[in-house]
Amino acid sequence: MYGIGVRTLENQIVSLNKVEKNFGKFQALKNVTFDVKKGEVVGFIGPNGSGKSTTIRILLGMLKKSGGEALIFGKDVWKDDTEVHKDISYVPGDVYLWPNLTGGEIIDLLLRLNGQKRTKKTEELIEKFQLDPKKKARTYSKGNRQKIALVAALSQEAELYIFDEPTSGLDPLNEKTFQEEVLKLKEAGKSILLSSHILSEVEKMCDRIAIIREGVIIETGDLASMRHLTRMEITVETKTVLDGINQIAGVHKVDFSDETHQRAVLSVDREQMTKIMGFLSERQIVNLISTPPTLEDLFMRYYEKQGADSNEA
Amino acid sequence: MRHSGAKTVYLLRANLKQNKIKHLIWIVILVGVFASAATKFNVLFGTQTDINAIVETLKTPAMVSLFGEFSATKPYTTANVFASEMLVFMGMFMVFMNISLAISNTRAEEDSGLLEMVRSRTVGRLAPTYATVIEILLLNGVMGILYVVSLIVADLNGATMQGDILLGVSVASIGIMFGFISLLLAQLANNSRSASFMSYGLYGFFYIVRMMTDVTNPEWTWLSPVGWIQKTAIYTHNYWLPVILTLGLGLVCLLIAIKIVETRDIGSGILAARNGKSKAGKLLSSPLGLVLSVERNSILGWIFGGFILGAAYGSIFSTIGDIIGSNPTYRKILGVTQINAANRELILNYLNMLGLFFVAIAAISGLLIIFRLKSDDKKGYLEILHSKSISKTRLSLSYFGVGTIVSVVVFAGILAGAFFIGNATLDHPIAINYFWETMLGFLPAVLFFIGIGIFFTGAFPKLINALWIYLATSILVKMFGPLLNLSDETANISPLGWVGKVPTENANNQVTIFLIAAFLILTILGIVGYNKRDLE
Repeated sequence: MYGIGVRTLENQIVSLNKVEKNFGKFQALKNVTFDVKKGEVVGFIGPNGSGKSTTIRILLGMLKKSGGEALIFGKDVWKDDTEVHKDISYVPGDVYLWPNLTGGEIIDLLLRLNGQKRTKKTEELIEKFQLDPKKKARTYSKGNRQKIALVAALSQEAELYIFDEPTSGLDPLNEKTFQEEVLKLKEAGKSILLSSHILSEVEKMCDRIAIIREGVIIETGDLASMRHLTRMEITVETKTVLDGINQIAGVHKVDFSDETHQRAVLSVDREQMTKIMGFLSERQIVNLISTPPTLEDLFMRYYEKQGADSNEA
Repeated sequence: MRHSGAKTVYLLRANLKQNKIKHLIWIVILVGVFASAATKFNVLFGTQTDINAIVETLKTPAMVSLFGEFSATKPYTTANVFASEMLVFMGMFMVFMNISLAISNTRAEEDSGLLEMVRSRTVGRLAPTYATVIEILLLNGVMGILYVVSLIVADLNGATMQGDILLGVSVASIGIMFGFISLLLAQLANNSRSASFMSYGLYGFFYIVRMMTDVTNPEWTWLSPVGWIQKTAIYTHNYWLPVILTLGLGLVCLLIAIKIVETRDIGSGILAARNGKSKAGKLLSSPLGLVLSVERNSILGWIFGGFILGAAYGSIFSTIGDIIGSNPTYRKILGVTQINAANRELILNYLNMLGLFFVAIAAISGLLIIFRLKSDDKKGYLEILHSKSISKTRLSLSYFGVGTIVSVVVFAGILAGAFFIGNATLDHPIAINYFWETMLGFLPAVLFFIGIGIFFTGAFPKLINALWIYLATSILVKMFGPLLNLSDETANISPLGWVGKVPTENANNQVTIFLIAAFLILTILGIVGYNKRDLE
């Protein structure tokens, strides 16, 4: 088991070590430590204002860190920014474009600035995302501006792809297209850092996640290892009444959805699953749907834990 | 429809709060210059001899081209001189102030999406326009009153209460007119840049028409709405008709603007956005190419407009020369060669005076591009660019370089327009070396302002507005300094004072070298600063 965690320089694409950032007196980043290994999709999640974009801008050499170490491909992200950027492709959270250039012109420009050209893949992506490249950027909606940045970024050859909340303006269809493209990149062995607060998207695509809150990375690891924090949600219908279910250890939240208390939505600890299932089968199950934990739950659970800890202290 | 003006007062208060500082700066500078000139005029032009001398100067074509026709009749008074010198320039600054206010309050807010948010509340469709109209009326009204008060306090020789009021009202009314014209243009264009471009362009056109007609035949100045307020004959006849016309034209434009606001979609303009190319041309493959493509239209506009303005000034060279040539007494006393020499001297003096404006125009054209590095960063246009393998030096140099070159070309264009069109009107053209001497003398001053702009943009982006104030003060001090009896040292707050009497004298090599060195050092500091600081 030890071998898996060994860090070697070659497979370390991004590494952040105790990165801090102060804006005047305000400390935006207190301790950001995580890494992205080669071929890995890392989800970077946290609520608004927690420091996701600040971290990404430090990685891109736009902001200068106040402390710690930030490397991409083993090089300093501030000093060697131009060198590092040769193999990076990036889509910002809010895409703003020169209003009097067309979408097509901007895609070409962004590719050429890294010495690349429009390829067949670019055309395919324009088609897939249903983009009209002839329109002036000022007439594009937020989602369409995002698509332009995505087409340019996805069709660029790079080793590391950084997406800052890439799907916040996309409809579900385009979101799916995006996810497919990210999977293709992953299959091709590319590394991806994806920040988001749309948690289902991170869940679907990421190998590992790093959770940031108020400028501190509070949790990193793969999804499976974090599930201990999460509860299952069970929707159940039985022939006899479910009264008494909230007395069982491990059942946290019970919402009855009918007056006779035969239907309920429960939130339960995984560890207590056997006992709970026993209780339910005694009452003759008519219907049962269990929903896997989402990162929302993980988040909620984490904050609850934090709250409880601080109350104890 | 009944509630289309709902929440106007609320918006007005929000806008006033937002624009407070800007308004205050305009009021302090413009009213300050006006009032301090007014209080000094009785001392400066107290005696009839002084008055007659300055009137003689004001009647020369060179001065008419700058300050407008001197229309007062004998006996001339101090008040006549003051009104004649102040009207055109105060009007010009009032116009600039109002264009900027009208567009930033309406079309610019629409561009940024602010209007959409505002309009989703219980705010009437016309409320943003109404609020801006009231703000324009308030600002110009307050300034008009301050002008009148300073005139009453100064109590110029020959002034009357009616004349004082008319002068204040005239200056305010041209401001209001252009504010309303801009409101209309902001409805035609579909973005704030085009709206500004059209507004300043229209003013430039009106200004050139005013200048050409003033010099050739002042009757025709009625063709230019900018020239109407010169027809008020303040302190002599006190005609109010031009003021009514000025305000009337403004009102018509406002009514049309309101009609359009009532019916058009948010974010659209009468001039629809056309689709462009689906693939980029060759130019769009470097940061430099990007700046050139994005700025192409305004660069062409500045160069073309600059050349036209220069040519317009140049076209009166022969008229300036004629004063001496057509005077029989001079003709007898001076020989033909001496007359030519005297004419040349007059024209070279005129070029020196024009140099001041040419420097300002050239500097502004370049600074606007240089400052766009800051605004493009702020608007997030450059976010993706910063992730590309382009150094910050290269990116900033693209903006700084294009800005500098545009300034140089615009300056050369205006000067060439003035010089060569001017020469074409002369029987005895001025030698070409005077052209180069003027370039050599004034261009370093342009570069100095550009250098400060680069330094601020790169290292201290928050300070860029201070440069506008510095530039405006430099011009006003240099122009009105002699009138205000300020010492020459006051004009020396900027290179506009240091360059001296070029081209009548040779350019001072020390000054030239100093200014160019300052430009280079400031540029390097600006680039270093941009590399070192956080991006916005």
